[in-house]
Amino acid sequence: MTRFILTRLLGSLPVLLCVTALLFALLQVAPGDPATLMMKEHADPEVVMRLRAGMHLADPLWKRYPRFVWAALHGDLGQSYKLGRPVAGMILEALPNTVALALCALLVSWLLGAAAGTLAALKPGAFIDRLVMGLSLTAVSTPVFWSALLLQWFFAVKLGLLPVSGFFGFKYLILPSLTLGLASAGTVARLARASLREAMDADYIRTARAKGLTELAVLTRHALKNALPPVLTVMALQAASLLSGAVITETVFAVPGVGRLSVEAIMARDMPLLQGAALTAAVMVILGNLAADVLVAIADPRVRKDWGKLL
Amino acid sequence: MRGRAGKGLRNVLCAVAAILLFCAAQVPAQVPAQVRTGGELRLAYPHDPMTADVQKNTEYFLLGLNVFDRLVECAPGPPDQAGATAIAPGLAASWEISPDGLVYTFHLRPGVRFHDGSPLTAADVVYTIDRMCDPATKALNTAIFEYVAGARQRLEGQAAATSGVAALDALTVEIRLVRPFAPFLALLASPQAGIYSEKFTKAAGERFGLTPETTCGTGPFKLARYVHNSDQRLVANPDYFRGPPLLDAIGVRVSADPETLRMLFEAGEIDLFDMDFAPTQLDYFEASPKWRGRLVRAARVGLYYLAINNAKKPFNDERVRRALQLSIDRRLILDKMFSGQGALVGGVMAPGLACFGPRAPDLAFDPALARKLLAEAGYPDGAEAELVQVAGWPAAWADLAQVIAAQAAKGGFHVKIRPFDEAAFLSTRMYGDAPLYFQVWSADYNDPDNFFHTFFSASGTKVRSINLADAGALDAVETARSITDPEARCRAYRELERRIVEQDAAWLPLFSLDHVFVLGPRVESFAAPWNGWSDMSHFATGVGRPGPP
Amino acid sequence: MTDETPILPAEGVRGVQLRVAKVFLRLLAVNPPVGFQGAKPLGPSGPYARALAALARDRVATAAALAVAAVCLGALCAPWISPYDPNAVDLALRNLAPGWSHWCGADALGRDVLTRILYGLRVSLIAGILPSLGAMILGALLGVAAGYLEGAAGFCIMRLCDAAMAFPSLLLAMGLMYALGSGLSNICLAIVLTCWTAAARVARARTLSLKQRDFVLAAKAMGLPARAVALRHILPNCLPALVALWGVGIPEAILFEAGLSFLGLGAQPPDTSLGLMAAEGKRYLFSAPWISIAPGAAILGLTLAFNFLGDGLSEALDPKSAERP
Repeated sequence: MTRFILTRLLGSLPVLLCVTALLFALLQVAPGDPATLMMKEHADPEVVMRLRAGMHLADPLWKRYPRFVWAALHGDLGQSYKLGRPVAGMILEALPNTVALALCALLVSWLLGAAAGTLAALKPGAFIDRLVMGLSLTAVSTPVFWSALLLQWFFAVKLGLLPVSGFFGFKYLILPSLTLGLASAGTVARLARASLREAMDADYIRTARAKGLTELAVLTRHALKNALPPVLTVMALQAASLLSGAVITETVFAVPGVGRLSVEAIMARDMPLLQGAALTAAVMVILGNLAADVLVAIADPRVRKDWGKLL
Repeated sequence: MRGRAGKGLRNVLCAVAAILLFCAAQVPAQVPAQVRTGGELRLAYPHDPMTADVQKNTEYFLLGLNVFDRLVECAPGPPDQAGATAIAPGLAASWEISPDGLVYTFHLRPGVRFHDGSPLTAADVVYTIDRMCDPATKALNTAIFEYVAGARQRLEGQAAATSGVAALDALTVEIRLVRPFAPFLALLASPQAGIYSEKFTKAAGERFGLTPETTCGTGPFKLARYVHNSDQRLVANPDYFRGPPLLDAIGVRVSADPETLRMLFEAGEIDLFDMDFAPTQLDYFEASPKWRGRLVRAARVGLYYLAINNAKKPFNDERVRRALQLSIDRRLILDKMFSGQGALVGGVMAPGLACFGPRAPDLAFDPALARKLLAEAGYPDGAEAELVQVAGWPAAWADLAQVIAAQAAKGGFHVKIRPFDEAAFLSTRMYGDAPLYFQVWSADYNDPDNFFHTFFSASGTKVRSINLADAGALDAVETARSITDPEARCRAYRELERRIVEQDAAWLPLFSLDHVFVLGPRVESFAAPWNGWSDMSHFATGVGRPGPP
Repeated sequence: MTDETPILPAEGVRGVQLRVAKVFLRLLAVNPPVGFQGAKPLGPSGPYARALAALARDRVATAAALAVAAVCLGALCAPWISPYDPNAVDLALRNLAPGWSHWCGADALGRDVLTRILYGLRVSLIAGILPSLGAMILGALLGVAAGYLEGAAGFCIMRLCDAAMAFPSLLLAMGLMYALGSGLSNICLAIVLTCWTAAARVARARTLSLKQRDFVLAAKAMGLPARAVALRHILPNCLPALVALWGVGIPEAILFEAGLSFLGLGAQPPDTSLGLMAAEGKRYLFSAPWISIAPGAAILGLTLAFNFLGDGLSEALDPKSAERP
């Protein structure tokens, strides 16, 4: 297992290089430059030139990119053009918020999704099954900025139970994680239902039923265990994508997270900040993918014998 | 400067520190609450302020206006002249200007202390100006000191100090200019000119203004908390030289979504709703019996304008520009899209600006005449034009662009809306190549120069893609800067305004929108700033009860 | 999946990959399609007629298919259906409530909301269908290659897939918009570049399991070149799964475009898309709710229709469902 993890991690380094190089290239061809955007309404060629000189923007790409990689390897992500703060510090400040939001959202989506999916799988084709599947589709297809607004209006303005936005403690976490969690709960529910139904169709379940086990026992002892690996895979992948920053939710609920940082950075062409945010997101996704594979392997003894194939 | 507040200089206020400017005719309950009730004012802004360092910020001055003071301040003028302002003493108790307009001598107020307890001295003022011009600072607002002697050499790294600034004694500063520059005093009252402590700022280095520990001024509030993208907190400075502010604290939250802002206000989580951040909510608040009585309208020293690129076909022909002026029904736009909250502007200067006078007659609306002029100019089938639409500008502006395009069509123009990304637009505009665009400009210092030099100086007219071709007018803008007699200067500007709008038809002003605020139930005294910006000093704002925990 | 259990112990890891592939299918509440569990080779022709017949028997799917067809027709024929010009500004009708002349009301500029929905559907449908198709093709080719080649090449392709997943999709889209300018074609490109990974993973997992099947081994033994084996025997057998994936890719893409529009990176005024309309109308959610709710409901309806159609399609492509009563 250790060898597997190490190989994958080593294999991820080029991935990170790819991601950052792509960003550099994208920003290179993007029109406009950070200096202009810093001056906004006051931009004039003279001041902009002076600012640009301080940013080393005149250097060619092949000079700037290795410089970035070299510094990043030393833990130095540079200084934000726009804000003058060290990027690493800004990311360290924002990351816990994103992680907290993502974890709460995942909790919502996993619990709600798994429960709903199991419920639906118990009686395929029944009313409850159709209801759950219909609701999950609705959840999946509602734009996030919409559900966010409705939740805010109902829970904060109408009922006055929860704060509208901001990020100053646990109760500020509830609405954004509900917004984010509901959308992915639909996916988890559909997945859990499908996976359980497949497991319930299997021979060993028939054997278990034939042995005279109750339906509940069949479900908990056999089906759930076997339905778990695929659900785990997708859950971990979901976690990865959420950890890399839920931009819209963070914007609407004013969560000072990595997603906001990346929007801010791209709007201002703040390359160091954008690189930092993208690098963080990429690391999160890679770790999430790896965790997914390891979890699946741990849950499934058949895989443990042959780690190499997972590469 | 965009309508939604926050870009350019818009939100800035020339801190009207001690004097309340009540525009609150509609708020009967408002008495100037000179009694200090304490409490916390809770605000929300759609953006992070980036830094409290006013030298390195071109957009957000809420922190800067409350944490720092300036040598002079912009204050309301005599009560009989609505909207007039005057330069009032700030950190400088008095000043003299030499007859040739080249030497300014400021006498500092004795006994003023910075938040860290150290006294304000002339050396601090000298340091502040030199820091702006020091290339190592990478300051953004260097333009305000461009005529200080030695500033250019310092900026270009040819000098180790700005030679034109000197401390004559502990409390006297002398600033020498390279040429007479009438708006200089008004510029010193702009938020970018906040005064720093030499010792503290040097020690804070690059982190000055980024954290409470590295921010220190003389202002009515001290920065106590600053979490990027989340919130800031300012606490009262009990030793403020004008006396402690009415509030104990100001809490500012960052909330980017306009609808969320409104819900924050309705849920009672913030005390002030700034309509500039969510202009489409005006209809709702005006119709609401609960809030109707809590609306405060402040005049804004600023205007919406449609910038015509005089160098670009078809607008390189004066008749075509005049046709465009005739095609836009400004009254209809103001009434329908902005509920009539504001005034039409017919010139270059916005109402409330020094030297402003309504230009008569106002621009006419006559699409038929416009088509005739186009035909005369050689466009019998209409003229093609492009109008800028920047992704990321407020949605209301996208609407405005479409209305303008539709109206221009009636006057014979085929206006194509061309999407731009903000960076691309700014760089295109900077080199004089932008097509038609509209924008807002509001005053950061109260002098006509702030408008004329921005749009019609030889450099400004290109940077803003207006490209005024009238060389006489360009020269006149430059000359007007050095006229020392105020009356003569005003006359010169009014003549210039007429020449640019009527004779050259080079400029299409739209209107000046009132700045509407809705006061939450706790707010007892509130004074909008002289220029109608969102960023203001809250020295005179008061709330009734202490805020909820 | 009665015939699945015997495969798994023998195939070990590949079984897991099969499961991962299924995960993606299950995501769509889809049963593994034809050939997924059986070893029977599948030509591209025969089963599709059967699937179509099965689809026709599914009432929900039929209704969904009809709805999708109606919507496409509506978008296509918008100029003949609606008496209004979608971009005609009339400030006198500003925020007009729904009524007989304007069924869904008028927006902030007095434009007919229903008409704009019809025109907005064009963008949303193009952004929904084309890029998800492109993503499927790109993903299928790369996935089959990765699965068939295994070894270093496969590893590289899968790391590329990792990189694409690791690159935050919104960020990639934003970057592209800024680099190439915003426009429908670039939105489509962004969607393709962010959505191909799922297809690649499914295709690879399918390929890995198909590679061991008798008919593939037989084809190899007959001396067919690798490319021919992959394209003629493996790719067609991946198709059903990919078609099902495409079914949910469409609404995903529509919502993705809606999200981009929300950030000002999608369709640019005066052009519109459902997402842009919902995002713009959001400003008037409390004073003129129809401006935002009507396009929002359209997104929801469209997504539901495509999802039901996708479900029906995958059920129909599953031979087991045909056997069921």
